[in-house]
Amino acid sequence: MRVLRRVLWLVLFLLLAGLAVVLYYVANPNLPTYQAPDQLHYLDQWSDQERQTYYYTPQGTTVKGLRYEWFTALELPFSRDRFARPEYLARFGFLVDPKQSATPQNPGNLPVGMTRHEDEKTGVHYLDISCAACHTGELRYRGQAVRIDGGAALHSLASTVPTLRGGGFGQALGMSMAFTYYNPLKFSRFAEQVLGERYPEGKDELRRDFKNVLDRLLGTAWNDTHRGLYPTQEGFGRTDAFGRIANSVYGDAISPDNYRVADAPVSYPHLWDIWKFDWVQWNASAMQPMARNVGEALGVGATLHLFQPDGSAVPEAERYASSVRVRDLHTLEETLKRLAPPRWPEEVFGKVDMARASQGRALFAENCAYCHAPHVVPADKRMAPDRDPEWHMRVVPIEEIGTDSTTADNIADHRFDISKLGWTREQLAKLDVKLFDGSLDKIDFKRISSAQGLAYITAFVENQAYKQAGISGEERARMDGFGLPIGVQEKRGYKPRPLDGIWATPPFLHNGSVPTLFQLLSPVTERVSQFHVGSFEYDPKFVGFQTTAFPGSFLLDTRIKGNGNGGHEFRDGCRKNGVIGRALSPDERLALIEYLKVLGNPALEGQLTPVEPRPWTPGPSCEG
Amino acid sequence: MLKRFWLWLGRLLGKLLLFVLVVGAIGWLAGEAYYGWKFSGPVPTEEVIPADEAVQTRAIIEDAVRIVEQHRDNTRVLRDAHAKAHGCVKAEVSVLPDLDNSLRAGVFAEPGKTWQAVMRLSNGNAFPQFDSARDARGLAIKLFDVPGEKLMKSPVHANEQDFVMFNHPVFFVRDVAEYRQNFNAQANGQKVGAFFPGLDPRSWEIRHLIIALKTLAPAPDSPVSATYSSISPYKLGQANIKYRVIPDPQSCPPYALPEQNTALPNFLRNALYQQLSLDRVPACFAFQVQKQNAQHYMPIEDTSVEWDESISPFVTVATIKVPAQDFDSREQNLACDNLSFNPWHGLPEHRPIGGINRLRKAVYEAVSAYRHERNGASDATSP
Repeated sequence: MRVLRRVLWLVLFLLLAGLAVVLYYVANPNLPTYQAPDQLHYLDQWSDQERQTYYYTPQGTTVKGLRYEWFTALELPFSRDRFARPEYLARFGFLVDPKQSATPQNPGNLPVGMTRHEDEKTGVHYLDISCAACHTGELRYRGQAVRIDGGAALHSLASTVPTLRGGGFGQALGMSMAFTYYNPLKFSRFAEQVLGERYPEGKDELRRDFKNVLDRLLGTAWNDTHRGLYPTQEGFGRTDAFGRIANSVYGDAISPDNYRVADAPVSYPHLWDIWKFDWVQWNASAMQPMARNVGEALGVGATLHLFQPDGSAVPEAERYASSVRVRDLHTLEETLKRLAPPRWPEEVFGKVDMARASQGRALFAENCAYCHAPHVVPADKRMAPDRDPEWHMRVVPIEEIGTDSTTADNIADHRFDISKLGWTREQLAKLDVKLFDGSLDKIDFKRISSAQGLAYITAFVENQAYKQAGISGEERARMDGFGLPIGVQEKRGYKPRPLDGIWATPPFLHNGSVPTLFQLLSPVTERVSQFHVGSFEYDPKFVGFQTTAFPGSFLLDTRIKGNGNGGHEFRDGCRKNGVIGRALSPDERLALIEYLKVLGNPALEGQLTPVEPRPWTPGPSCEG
Repeated sequence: MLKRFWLWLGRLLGKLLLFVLVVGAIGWLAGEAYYGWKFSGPVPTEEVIPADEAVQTRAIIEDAVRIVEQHRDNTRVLRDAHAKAHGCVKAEVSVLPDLDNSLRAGVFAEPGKTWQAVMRLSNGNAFPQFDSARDARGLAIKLFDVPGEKLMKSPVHANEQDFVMFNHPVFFVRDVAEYRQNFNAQANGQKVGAFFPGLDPRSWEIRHLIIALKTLAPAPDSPVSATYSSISPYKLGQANIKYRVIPDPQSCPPYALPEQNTALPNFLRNALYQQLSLDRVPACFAFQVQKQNAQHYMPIEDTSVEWDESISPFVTVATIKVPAQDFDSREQNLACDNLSFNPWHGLPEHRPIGGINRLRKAVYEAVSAYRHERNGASDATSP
């Protein structure tokens, strides 16, 4: 008896200890501290007005239905401090300007890319995560901050899987909401703040609505955790974009059987020049700007109405209704066309060594231009005759480039059962979708590929959204982007990009597995296999972020699936298995880096002296 | 019964310990007294040349060539000592701007002057072995474009000034005669035996054996983190000096070398490559000299005796900066191996003195010429 009692006490003690640890980390999540910069520099990539348009134009996404004024009223779990203070959200890696204040476009004074849209039917304002949240970067150096518009974010927004120590935005948000809901005093303060005049009558309704959102948030966390959907932690500045879009569209919206493990995080690509490309996405799978943007919005959390709550079909007229905002997406796309690549700020990062950069230009011509120089095509060869310039880029097969293949493989190999949608081939044939690999008669609705399925779904969503907005004909073609159809090609490879402004987008490779340009140009043996991510501190010498550990940093281990740092390698030996060029001496690597600082900056490029490049050599033969 | 036995054993051990301590103390005191008497000044300030030195030198050259042949790499003939280089790196040697007048001579005559130089960092052994093996580590510096008449007449080295060092303050032989005997024994594969030439205990070189064992030490973390000494004495203008090169991290950006895998054969080269070529952080040294004070036992003809630093401290005369650079290409490494360093490449103001230095002149020349001819290489002057 006494033994039993002791065991019970022990179990109780252990439970309390466990709870204490959890609560400790709820109160002190593992986050970097935020230090405001002495000065924030913008690089004249566009006008102030265009910048604000890009930062705060909504695209129609929601965060599980979280309302804007709820978000701004939320408190931290164990304090009365607001959750959505700029200096607190900055700790997750969101970008704030020390001088920023509330504006009509940004009434909640939130970080870049956190905006709001109004639901036309209900008039509710939802928190809306826009393009800018993930496609804006910042570099810090000696107390100065340099904003990179259209660059790569370095936040932990995407992660939905909670960890003991916390550190993800979603987890911190969920904890704040849970503590608000279950702590009556906190909830009263919150309700008063949100309802204002309508307090206390609306309190019960608010509590119900709030609980719905909280349940969805916790439900997603539980779903993604117990299914083990995201085994490779994304950390800062990465997300498995394709995997998450597929899981939300095919899994959440259609059937749980369609959940697939998404273990291929990618870095956020930068956005200058994208409108000129023939194909976009890391694996060059998308062609039409609007379709790509709609797909992205669906992945980030736009609502999509496919079935009634009881699982039955939605009437044709309502089916594929979504919260996607085509006019705003078009505004964002047009604004991005005017985005210039960043210029190397010599006043912050130091002078460029022109002699070295001139050498670098010759090395670039010898070793890089073959893949990274854009092929500017004449009007008669363009996919979109009105697009000027139009750049065609090669897609380098996996076996050639040798970089981590998980991303390309997942997209190429995952299949989904969408038969529940009841599609017919006749229906699909009417849609403006163009398959570059494969054909409509070969599609099996029980085993459709991610890209093809998404193309047809976005086509339906687009049609519905344009119909709701009353847009058709010429105007629609213009908003789609140069009248392009929704093209799909499925290649197991990655698309090299032109390298103007590449210095501003560390870490490198599609999966962010190489911290600096210097290491990217080094043999794989000289690349670090583990490094810490999350610091904005820039290293102008080797061009990348600082990789030392600091409180709240994320350890990126390249030995984990999806994080591989091989390939794209310059070393002696035969050109195979990811070796794409001759060995570059450290001096040559530095010369190349120097050139990449001026590439795309006509003022500086004009100061280079001509150096005769060596001829490219194919290297020794591998066949003995 | 057992208790009595136990106590008796304790007493026996106690007495034994006391006896050993007393004997040890007496021996130590006797040694101190003997060396205190033997190593007491004053000493001559001039060289004293033994009569049979030329004969000994010729014999040593023969042994050296024999060692070179026996320790060949299968494609190249290597040095008879310091065969394995960690790298040859460019360096800048800058004379202190406010150098004391009494130290201004030779290449240090002009304060503030910066010389371009090359540094060869090496292991002491005649055969390339794992860096983790106990060994001496060497540093040789060659200054370029040094004007003036040189001690050696070769046109190839007419504009050079060399400084040659290793990372222990004393040498394990005193003079040419002992070097011949020791070197010959080593050439025949003896190691410890080389210090015990005969049955007569008076010929045993126990002190030199201890120096040798201390010289063959585990590797430093990096070739640029060790202190290198000239061992043998030199002129500096009128003065007799010894010199050394010590790390001077304060003059360089702070740098923490990442942990190297010391199980790898060439981790010292890896460390050098990591710092200079990959992390692009320069390395800094100070060049220091120690003047002879002839009132004390600071002999010229015995390289196994340290000159007392408390009496005559080392003084910095120049700083050395090894800039961040690439040094590890095939061409550079080959050129590095074709360099030849000799303390006699240089100005009369830096004239090497003492028996071991006189010996080096002939032996270094002979081995260098032999190597270059066997390798079909010309005597390179720059890497």
